[in-house]
Amino acid sequence: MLEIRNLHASVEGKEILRGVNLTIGDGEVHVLMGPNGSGKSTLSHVLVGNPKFEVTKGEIVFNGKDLLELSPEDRSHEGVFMSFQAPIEIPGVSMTNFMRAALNAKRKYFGQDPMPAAEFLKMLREKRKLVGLDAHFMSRGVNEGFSGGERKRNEIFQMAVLEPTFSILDETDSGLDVDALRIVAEGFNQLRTPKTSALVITHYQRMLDYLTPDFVHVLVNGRIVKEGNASLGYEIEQRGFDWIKEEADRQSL
Amino acid sequence: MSNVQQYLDLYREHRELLEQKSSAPLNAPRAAAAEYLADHPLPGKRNERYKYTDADAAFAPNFGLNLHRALALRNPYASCHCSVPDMSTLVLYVVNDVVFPFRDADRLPEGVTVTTLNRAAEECPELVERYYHRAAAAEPANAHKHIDRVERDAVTQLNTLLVQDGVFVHIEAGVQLEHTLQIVFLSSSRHVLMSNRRLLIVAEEDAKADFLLCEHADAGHGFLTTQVTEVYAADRACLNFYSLEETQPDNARFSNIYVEQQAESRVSLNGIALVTGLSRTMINARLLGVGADCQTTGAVIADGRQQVDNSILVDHVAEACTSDMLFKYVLDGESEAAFSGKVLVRPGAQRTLSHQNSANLCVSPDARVHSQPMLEIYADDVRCNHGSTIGKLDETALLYLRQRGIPEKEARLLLQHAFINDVLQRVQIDALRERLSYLVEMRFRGELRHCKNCRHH
Repeated sequence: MLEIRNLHASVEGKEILRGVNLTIGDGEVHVLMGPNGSGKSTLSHVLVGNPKFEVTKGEIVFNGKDLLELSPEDRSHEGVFMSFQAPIEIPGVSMTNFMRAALNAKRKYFGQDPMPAAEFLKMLREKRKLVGLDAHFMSRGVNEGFSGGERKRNEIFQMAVLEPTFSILDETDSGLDVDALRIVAEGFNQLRTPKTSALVITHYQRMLDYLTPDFVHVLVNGRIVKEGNASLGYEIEQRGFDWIKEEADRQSL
Repeated sequence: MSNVQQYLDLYREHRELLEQKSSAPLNAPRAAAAEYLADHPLPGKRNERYKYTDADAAFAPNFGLNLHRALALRNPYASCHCSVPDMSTLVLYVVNDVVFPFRDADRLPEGVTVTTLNRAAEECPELVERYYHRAAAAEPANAHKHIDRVERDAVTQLNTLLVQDGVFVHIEAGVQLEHTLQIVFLSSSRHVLMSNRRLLIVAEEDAKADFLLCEHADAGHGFLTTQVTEVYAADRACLNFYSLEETQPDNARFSNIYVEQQAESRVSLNGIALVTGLSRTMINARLLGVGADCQTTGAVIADGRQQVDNSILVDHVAEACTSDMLFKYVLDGESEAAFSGKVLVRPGAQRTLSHQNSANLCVSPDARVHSQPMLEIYADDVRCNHGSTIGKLDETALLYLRQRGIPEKEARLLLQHAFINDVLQRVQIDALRERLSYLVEMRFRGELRHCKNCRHH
């Protein structure tokens, strides 16, 4: 599904990623851990094409396509979805209009006509029920006045509508918000198919409990320095990152 | 020498003709206006309230005037159909400065008069004499500080000097106008033309009415319009004005609106500038009766070299009045826009509540905005707040929308429309709000070719 090769990226001239290699297969769930400032969020923003981040070297192949050549919107159409850590409030753009614009843009990309209004509203209702989001949220502005938990549920709702194949779940600092983690993890599991993959960014063991990842990667100073299965995640929860950093330092000497 | 001289010369030369084609109440204040203008140049950047719009320069070209009232005019009933879907309005057309016969007169409820100022001067002279050029002659700005030097607005004076007719609306006590009164202003001529328009609106106690004012102009000619509107709202009267400007990049307009409000009256003035060249709106609202409420809202969407200027003064004279200003601008290209809004709380105007908000988006690096909210308070028991922001489109929101697959152009459009939305939400007539929302969207898409339903042939 996704192959990242020797990825270097910088923001405002400062190099953050210094050669990331990562391969994610169909149906796999990967967890990315790492100390603050190691580059986890940078990687997620590079994957979705945030123009603030500059890729200086390396490549990303997504289902055979050069991902870095695609605009953020085309990446979305191709199946990349990011559940944002802190979804932004956009007053004045109603959820219904937002979803209609998003879905019809995707249909257009694949040469399909816009979804008929009645069918669209029916689909929206079904997806809403699936993820447990109340009807009244649809007429509100995007995330406008939503609580933290409601915003997370809204991310999962959007995931349900857009049916991505690859989801990035950015939960870097939301560890204390138990509900947020649970909503995102349960939501993803609910929508998961044998084809859908995820990259989960977290510090927290709880996320490992919910998602039972296939692989855990540890990012330190812009490089993946250690990889393992779920048990690596639990070990980090116990021992912190210092031992991994030391190990990495020894290797580079 | 100020550019006002050519208009003074014109007045002196054609005074007889001008007055002959007009009526006594309109002729009465001309001499005083001429006297004032002889000593005062048209305002420019050195005048506080005109520092963002050089009126003197705008009046420099040698515009023609329709003094003989004989200019062949397009018949708006034949060539223009202006309507809002799902909304039944009573439509009155004004072409340049000529008021066309009001065909919807028989749909007016008893107690409502809609006619021309000249006809009103014959039919109800006492009303016209009582109200015409009263609010417009009282300049409240610094009156309490400089009793000896009351500044008058030279553009209003010029309008008073040259105006020959206008629209008169009177609503008797307790009468509610069910349908919106739509006044469509057209600028249409084969030559560059100056039009001086006048509106006099008098609402007695408990009267209620909504107004939709549409401004259009033919392409290809430079039009200059001055428009002076006087609004009198008696106790508990409720008046809502929605104005929509969709003219031409070579059009210049100066609209001065004077409002006098009595106790517990409610007046709202909502202006949307979709397409214009140079557009200046000045509102002076005086809250004279206890508990009056005045809302002024505006949205500006400008690009190219368009210039828009809103200069608002809400003068709290009486106690316990409320006022609210909300102005939102989205500026692209090399457009330039200004908002200066002042809330003046006079001594004794206790328990005043006022709120001012000016928010601006500059979507191009060459667009310029001047935002100047002002408070001048001479009472101690008041709650007044104001805010002003100038920014660019929120990149985080843009990324969020694009991540969900919405193309960048569409995402920008959605965000700009959302930004203006607060102003649209103040429109209380559902069908009109939807229409305006649609027009705003078309404008952002660059697909606005007149208001669609309002076809001009």
